[in-house]
Amino acid sequence: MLTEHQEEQASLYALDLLPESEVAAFQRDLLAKPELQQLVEDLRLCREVVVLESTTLRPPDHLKSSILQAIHESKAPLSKKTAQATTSKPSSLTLLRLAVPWSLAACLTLLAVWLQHEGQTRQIVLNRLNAENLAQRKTITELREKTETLNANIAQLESRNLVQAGTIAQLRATSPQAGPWTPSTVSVLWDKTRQEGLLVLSQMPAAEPGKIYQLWVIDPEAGGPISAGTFEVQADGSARILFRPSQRIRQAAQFAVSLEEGGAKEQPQGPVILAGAGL
Amino acid sequence: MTDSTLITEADCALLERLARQDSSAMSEAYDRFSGVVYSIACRVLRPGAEAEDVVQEVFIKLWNRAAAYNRSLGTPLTWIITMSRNQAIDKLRSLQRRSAVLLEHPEDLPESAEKEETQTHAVLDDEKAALIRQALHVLPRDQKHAIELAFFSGLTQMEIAEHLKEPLGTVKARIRRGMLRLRQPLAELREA
Repeated sequence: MLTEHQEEQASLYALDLLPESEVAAFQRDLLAKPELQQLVEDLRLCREVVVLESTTLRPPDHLKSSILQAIHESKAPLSKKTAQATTSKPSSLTLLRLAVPWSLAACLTLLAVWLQHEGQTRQIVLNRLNAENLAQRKTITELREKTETLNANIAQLESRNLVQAGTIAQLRATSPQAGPWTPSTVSVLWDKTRQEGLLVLSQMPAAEPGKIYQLWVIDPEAGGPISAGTFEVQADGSARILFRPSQRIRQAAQFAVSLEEGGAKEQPQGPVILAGAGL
Repeated sequence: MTDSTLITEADCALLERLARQDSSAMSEAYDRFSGVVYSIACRVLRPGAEAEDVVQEVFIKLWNRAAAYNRSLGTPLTWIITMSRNQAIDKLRSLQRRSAVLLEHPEDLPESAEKEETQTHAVLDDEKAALIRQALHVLPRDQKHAIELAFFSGLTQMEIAEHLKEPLGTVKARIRRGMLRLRQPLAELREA
């Protein structure tokens, strides 16, 4: 069953009105669909009847003789030369003189015909390859878009899963006098099932020389803060730390960051500069 | 074998003789197709010297290029019609004139040209052509006009739409409906 669009294109094609840019694609369609071929054949017959019925004028009588005369003249020079060649007896040299240019001309003609044919064949192959290339590029673009959409969906689902399975905490400076530790965002994502979390912060000053930041998880059932490891911030004040506490956490009620001297401690000894409860 | 098949085979044989540069074939080809070629030229350019030039150019082209014809181009008649239309439109563009088909009344064509009766019968005489002729006689005027403009005016789709002061979609649909209506009897004949 042909679509209206195909019928429309077939009508325009039969009337030589299909734009050049659409002809190649339509011809490919035509090769693949016998039903479309039949339609075009019928529509061409319709076109012929329209043309023949629209005006029925007879050309002036003198036209035929002038056309036949023009054709006769176009043949004449060749006939005269042929006649001369058959009536005289040329020498071998003359024959050679005649034969060489004619042979060259024949070779050149053959070469031109072959080149033209070869060029047309290559053009057809090139057009087909271009069309295939275009189609494949389109497919790749579509697949890329689908992949991006799927990745976005996966990220969204993972994020939801993490939020549902765990805890989010926003950490803040413990007091206005806590010093320069006023990062714009400090967030902790905690996955209870996997017993791991993610600390994300920005605009945090680097720890003073000889000191280091240490993250703590406050579990009411553990009887005290549990170390989740030390960390450093990058030159731009940001950090993205995946952490695993030193023992199992039953309830991550709160998270805190202390500033320790020398290195990691089993219990916080330095000042607690940031803290926040799980939401 | 239908009459049109016979006609097509005879036309193919005629083209083969032209390809062999048989002068008598040119005389026969002229008698057979000159009316079609001249009619198309007049429809595009109006009767006159330019239309006669087109006839001459088409037949000289036919003489020189008959060997290039192959059946994938359609019937010999289809090929000659396309060649005539293209030659006439090229001439029209070189003259930077409007096509004769754009005249308000087609009967405005000068009366100096002699009219010939039922030219269709001479070159397309079979059952299918008769059915299409019947359908053409009852085709709505707007559809027939759109089809004639499409073929004879040398205008693009958009230019035809501007000329008719109709949206492009309407013009395309009108051409499609008209062509399918002409084709309808052929589909019915095939089903029967």
